[in-house]
Amino acid sequence: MAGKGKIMKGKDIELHWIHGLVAVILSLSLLVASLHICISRVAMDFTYRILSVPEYPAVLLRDSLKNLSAWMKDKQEFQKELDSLKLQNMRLRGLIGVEEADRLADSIDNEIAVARVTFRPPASWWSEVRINKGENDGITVGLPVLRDGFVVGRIAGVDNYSSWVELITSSSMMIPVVVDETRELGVIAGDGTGKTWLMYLPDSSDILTGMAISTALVSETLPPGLPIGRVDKTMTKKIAGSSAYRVVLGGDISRLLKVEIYKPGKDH
Amino acid sequence: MYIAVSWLFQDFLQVFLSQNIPVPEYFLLFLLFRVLLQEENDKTAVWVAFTGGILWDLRWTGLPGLSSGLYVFVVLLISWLWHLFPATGRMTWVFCLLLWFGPLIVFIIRTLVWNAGGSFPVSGFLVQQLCIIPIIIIMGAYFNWKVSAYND
Repeated sequence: MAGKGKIMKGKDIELHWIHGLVAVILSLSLLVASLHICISRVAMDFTYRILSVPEYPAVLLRDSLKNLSAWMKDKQEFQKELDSLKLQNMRLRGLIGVEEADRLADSIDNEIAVARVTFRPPASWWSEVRINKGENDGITVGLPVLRDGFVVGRIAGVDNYSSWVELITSSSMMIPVVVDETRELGVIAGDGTGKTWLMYLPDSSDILTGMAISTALVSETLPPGLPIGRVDKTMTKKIAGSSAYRVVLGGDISRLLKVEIYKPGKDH
Repeated sequence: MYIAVSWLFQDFLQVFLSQNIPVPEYFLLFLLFRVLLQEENDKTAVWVAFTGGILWDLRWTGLPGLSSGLYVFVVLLISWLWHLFPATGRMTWVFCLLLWFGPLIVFIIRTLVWNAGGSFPVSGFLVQQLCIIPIIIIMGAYFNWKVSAYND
């Protein structure tokens, strides 16, 4: 039995080698034949069609991953572009800010003309001064004259190269004003001795020392809102039957060497 | 049955990886596993290898006969080598070594055919080995368990 088994086993092995040899020869024949016969293409198409069904999940998974990867890449690129645009936007905003600041500075430069006091007649010391800017510099009658940002007078006469300024301390100068804190209206006038008085306020007024005075909207000659000085309630006097309060001017009239002429632009 | 599944899985990987990386030869690995365990008749194994190879060629290589011949050759070679050892010498490590050797031959021959003159695809080789070696270890463990059970 054992001998028979061995013979059978030997036959099986031989048979398996014969099968193997036939399969290899068949493979090689197919390989050679496929180079010349176009039937392999038909078979390939058929195989592809059949296998496309079980391969579908793989295709789906692969395409999904590809799409996801492309989406991530696109997102990163968009983010980069967004960051770059944000940066660019910030820079442009900065440039615009600088341009606006320049424009504002130009506008202020154009609206303010600085003039030197060339003459202050001793006979009318508290009433008028002459400055070295005239019609040729765009100065016109009525323009407010400032010292350190506070009104000290207005242009009363203009020549080509010089102008006369009527000072706020002049007895003939009367300017409608407003008390900033209480919004009470009054008139400020000089007394020709270097002092200025706030008049026409009722006795019941809530005005206090230190309150700010500025030009009022009711003035026909001066633009509203220009600061003048502060109230000093400790010094009062009666003018035309009502109390007048002393006003300490913001601009130093005693040291009037240089003044600014405010030329409001079209916007004003 | 699971040889067919292994072929389909290999095909699935080939589609999924878009042929960028040489896929591990799972079909051949499982066929050799069955041959070495003698769960598959050698004659049947030869024709299974032939059919799997032909299908692979028709689907991927475009040269019917190339993979089939290669698979049949490897099955015959590994089977012959396995039978060279006496029954007592068929240790687990020999089993694993032959299982590893089969797909390696196919990889080398495929590289020689498709990548003639080019550099050796190191990354592809490493990926293949990373995919195959754990399975070979599991197969070796199964073989060991089966031999132990038989001896008991």
